[in-house]
Order: sequence, then structure tokens, then C-alpha cells
Amino acid sequence: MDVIAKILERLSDLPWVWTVTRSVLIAVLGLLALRATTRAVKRMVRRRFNAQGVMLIEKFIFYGGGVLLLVMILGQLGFQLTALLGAAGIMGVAIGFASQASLSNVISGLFLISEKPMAVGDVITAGNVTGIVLSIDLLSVKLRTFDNRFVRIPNEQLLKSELINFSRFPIRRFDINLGVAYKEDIGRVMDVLRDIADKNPYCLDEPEPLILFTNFGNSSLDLMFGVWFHVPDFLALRKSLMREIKERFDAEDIEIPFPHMTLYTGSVTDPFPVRMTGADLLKQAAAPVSAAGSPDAPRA
Amino acid sequence: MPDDIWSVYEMAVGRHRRWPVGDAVFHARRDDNEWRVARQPASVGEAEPSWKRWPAGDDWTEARLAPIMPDRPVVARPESPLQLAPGCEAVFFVSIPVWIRLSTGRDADVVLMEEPTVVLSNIWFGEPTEGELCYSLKTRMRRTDTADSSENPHRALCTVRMINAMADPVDFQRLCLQVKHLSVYRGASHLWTDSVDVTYERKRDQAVRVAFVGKPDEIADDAACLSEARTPPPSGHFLQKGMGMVKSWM
Repeated sequence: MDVIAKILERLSDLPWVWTVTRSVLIAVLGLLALRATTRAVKRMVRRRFNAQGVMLIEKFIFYGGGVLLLVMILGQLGFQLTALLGAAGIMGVAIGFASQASLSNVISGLFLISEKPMAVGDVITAGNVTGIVLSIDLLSVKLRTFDNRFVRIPNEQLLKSELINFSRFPIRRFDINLGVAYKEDIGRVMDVLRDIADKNPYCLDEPEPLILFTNFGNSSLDLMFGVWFHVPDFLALRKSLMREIKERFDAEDIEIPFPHMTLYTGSVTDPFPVRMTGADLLKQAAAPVSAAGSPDAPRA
Repeated sequence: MPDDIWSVYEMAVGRHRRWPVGDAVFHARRDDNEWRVARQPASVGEAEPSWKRWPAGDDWTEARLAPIMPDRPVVARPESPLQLAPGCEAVFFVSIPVWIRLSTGRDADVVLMEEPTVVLSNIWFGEPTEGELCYSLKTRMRRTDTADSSENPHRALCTVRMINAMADPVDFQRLCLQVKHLSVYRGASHLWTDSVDVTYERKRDQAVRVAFVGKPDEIADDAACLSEARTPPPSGHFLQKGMGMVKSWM
């Protein structure tokens, strides 16, 4: 007991020890209270907001509370808060000027979060990058491309550019542009395409496939074959449908022409050179012709 | 019921059984310490199936085959669009290809495989922005039960009673059946499901009142239950939107 009394007597002569102890206590208890508050608020707002909104609210409470806690601790340690806040204000202006791009991204991020053009897990194309959204943060959106690259797109850039969200709606249409030879019966080709869609389990029966005769092309009759599908089935549909079209066209003897050009020789052009192939033809061409009446026969 | 395959089969070690049903052949093989099951398209022939392997339990000595309803709703259409006059009702028979559930264990409580006997096309029921992915039935709804189910043990008949309780005629074009609420029964000549009553009573949002009767139609005498519904039907009825809607998808 005497020892403890002596220690306390000594400590009473050192007021900074009490100040530090109080500050540490405030820091520890404050952090615990902050964490508990954040969790409670997270539970409360989870049903009303999406994952991104919940994360934003959580961060706002945690960092806002952290700043308040820091101010309280600094007050305990005897810092002049008025002067400190004044200095912080000046620093804030300086930092603000220096970090215009970051602030712009933060504001763009807030717009993106409120506008909700995408959600985590969606497949999007922004600029020339296509990938799955990993996170939507205040400064940037992170994507994972299909070849497993990590792409960070600043929010400001995303807000300014065109964004395509492939996962927004549950079904989509897959359009294939096809060409068939001019000799083909276009009605029969359309029937074959309709049958291919009918037999492919990934093609939706409704909405019905769209088959349009779009153009008289240079080398082919052009068609647009659009089939609707459930978005998660995209790869399976694409793989199976393209193959089925080729196999079925081959089986039905429907020609898919490659680009070609027909050349004509008129009166102003020379005849096309002709090359003879085949052993018999080559021998015949090489042998001297001696038959009477032949234009090549020597005349007497 | 002819060619009734819905039964329990003894599976000795080394036994390999095949059941050709619908468009597929279902395989089950019991080895020393594992089971192998597979679904193989009938068109493939005798090629080695793509096995799904299960480490066997001690009491896995039997295989039970049971018909169950597909895992998604099905959309059925009448042979041609039908006008239902106010106050009238009409009975339709929908022929649905069942799925096979292959189970084992003491109480057949270990499900080794649930696969379709016929692979159905997908169809979207609803708006392009919101709706439900369903299976599309190629066979049309009929007014009589003279379906070819007696020759097709893999199809179950569902009786749907359509009732128009509105003051206006109903242009009936398609029906989305929540088959997860339907049990499957063994009838004298083919499989049956629970009957369904569909009542048109609200024109504004084209919603219909759907009630699951909980037993097959009266014409299926003494039908015995082969498998329970995947999800028990809601008590009373529920409202289903969008029935019979005609949309433009361009």
C-alpha cells in the first residue's frame, strides 16, 4: 500500500502523465465507440441502400468520427484548437488547389453513386475497356477485364465518357450480320435461321428472333439475325450459335460467299492470259501440229 | 401405367443401369466405394458418359427414380389465341416434360442427380427490363387430355382451369405456370400434376389469381403421389402479373 501511495504521490507531481493517460483513454474508448456506431448504422441502412451506398455511409461516419476524436485528443494535450483550425483552413485551401483533379473525381464519384449507372458485378464498357465492375469508389471505378487485368478508371473520366452496361437488363439481343450468295432462296434461308434459333436452347423463344433482309451487298445478300438471350448465357449462346449456323448452312448447301469481284474484258482491254493445266492438255500444247489444213502447218 | 420406370432399383456393386427417357439416357453405376451418375443425350449413342462421381455411403444400395417438375416456370400457349367470354371458364391440359430425380440412401434422401428428360428452350416472360426466365413448351395447350402422354412416360399432364370473372372478354395467349409448386402423380395411363385454377379478375394490370388445387384433376382416378413439389404451394392463391400480354420487342 505504501508503494502505491508513493507512486501516486510521485505521479501527482507529473501532470503530463494524467494528460497522456486521459488522451489514450479517449482514443481507445472513442475508437471502440466509433466502430460500434459504424456497425450499428451499417446494419440499419443495409436494407435501404445498395452495397456501394452502405460502404460510403460507413466510411463517412468512421472518418468523420475519427476527425472529431482527433480534435478532442489534441484539446486534451493542450493544443490551441483555434490556431490549429485556422492553420488547417489555410492548408485546406492550399491542398484544395493542389488536388483539383482528386476533388473533381470525388464529386464525379458522388454523382456516379447517386445516378447508379452500374453496380458491383456488372459488365461494362467505358472508353475502350470492357470488364466486370469490382468496386465503385469515391475517386475511381475498378474493373477486372476478361483477360484478368485490373483497370482503374477515374470517376471524372467515366462521367464524361459513354458507358455501356451489359448487365443492366436481364435479357439482350445478339445480332449477327450474315451474307448469302445471290443464287440462294432468301425465304428458305430465313426459315433455316428460324429453325436454328428454335433448336438452340439458349435462344429465347420470346422475344422472337429478328431476321431481316438488310441489303443487296457487293458480294452477297445481307441479312441480320438477332436472337434474344438471358445475359448469363451470352458465351454459351455465342459459341453454339455461330457453329450451328455454319454447320447448318453447309448441310443445307447454302453458300456464304466471301467478297469477290467479276472482271470483264471489253474491246479496249487485252484478252486474259490463259494457262492450261493437266498433263494431257500440256502435251497437246507442246506437240508440233502437222495436220493438213492446220493454221500452224508449214505450207508448201 | 405402361413402361413405368418410376421405381426403386437394387444396385449391387458393379451394377450399371441405363434408363432411356425422353431425349436422354440416364446412367447409374455402383462401384466399390463410389457411385457414378450421368445424363447423356440419346443421340450420342454408346459413347462413354460424362460421369458425376459420388463417394458412396454405407446404405447406398438402391437407386430411386422419381419424376419432378422443371426447376423454372414454364410458358404454355394454346394452339391459337383464344377469346374467353365474361363469366365463362375453359379447361386446358398442359403436357410438361418432367425432370428426373435420382436419389439413394436409406430414405432416398441423397439426391445424386436432377436432370431434364427433354431440354427445353428458354423464354422470357415479362418486360425486356424486368421479368422471369422460363422454359418454353413446344407442345400447345389442348382442350382435351388425349395427349400423347401414354406413349411418353416423361410427360405429365397439368389441368388448368381458366375462369374469366371480368365483365370483358379475355384474349388468352399464353400462360406462365409456376411448376415449382406442382407435385407429380402416377395415373392409370400417364403422369399428372396438381390442378391449377387461373382467374382473370383485374383488367388494369392484367394480373390473374392463381390457385393450386393440391391434387390432380378428378379424371385422374386414384393417382398416387410420386414426388412432392419443389416448393410447397402458397396457401390460398397469389397474384401473377403479365399473363397473356402481347408486347413489341423491337
